[in-house]
Amino acid sequence: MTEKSSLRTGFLLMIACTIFTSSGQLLWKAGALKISFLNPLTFFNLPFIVGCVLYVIGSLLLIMALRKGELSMLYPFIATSYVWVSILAPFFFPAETTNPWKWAGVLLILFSVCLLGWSSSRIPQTQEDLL
Amino acid sequence: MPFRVEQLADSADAGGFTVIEPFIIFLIIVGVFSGSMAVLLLKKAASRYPLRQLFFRRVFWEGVALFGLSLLLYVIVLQRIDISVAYPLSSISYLITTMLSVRYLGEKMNVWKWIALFGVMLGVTLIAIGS
Repeated sequence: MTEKSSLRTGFLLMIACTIFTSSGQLLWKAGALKISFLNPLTFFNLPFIVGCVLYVIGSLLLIMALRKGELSMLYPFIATSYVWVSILAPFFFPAETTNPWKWAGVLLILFSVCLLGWSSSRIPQTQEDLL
Repeated sequence: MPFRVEQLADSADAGGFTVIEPFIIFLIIVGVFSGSMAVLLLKKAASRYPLRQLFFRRVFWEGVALFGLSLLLYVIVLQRIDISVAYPLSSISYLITTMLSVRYLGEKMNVWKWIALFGVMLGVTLIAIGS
């Protein structure tokens, strides 16, 4: 029972991780537009730095998540970052539009990830949680 | 490093896309494998040591280094090829990570995990088609 609740914490941490890393990536992209390789000082622009900070926080959340369960159970949750990027990108970059293909992909990823969560609560985990 | 990226782009423009393509595919393969290996090492480190000790462990820093390598290769690749090609290729990392966790962490697969895994990969491919 504790193993299952620990895995649930892992799922939530993975989702939090992807929210941080994908907003970090969007800020990177916004910051990258201001970067000129001829002038290294342009790396120190606010969106780029905040993006880096968010990315580091996301990575720490990943480490915390990985303690909570099987890698094969937790890793597919990384794909939820595509969901956040697809939802957030049009707000950051008006040129990026959504279309039925993207929505189908987003829904399929969400469905698959839900399936993982559902299967973990139904099927007893014979595998020991941690090494 | 940034200058090398620029030079890479310039030389590719001059030499044509077909000249650089095998090299790009090689970069993708290295990037995908190092990314999957990185997560495997981070998982090993995270489940073996408490958070406070993590930063003093070799296996953790090996994971971080591989993670950085895969991120760098990903950025280089994305400058050269379209997202609609890069996303499906990078989604192979979900399969590789799962295979590595079965092989090296002794994790068990079940039918739901397989369905979720291929659902995630297909979802990423759909997003790529829409991009």
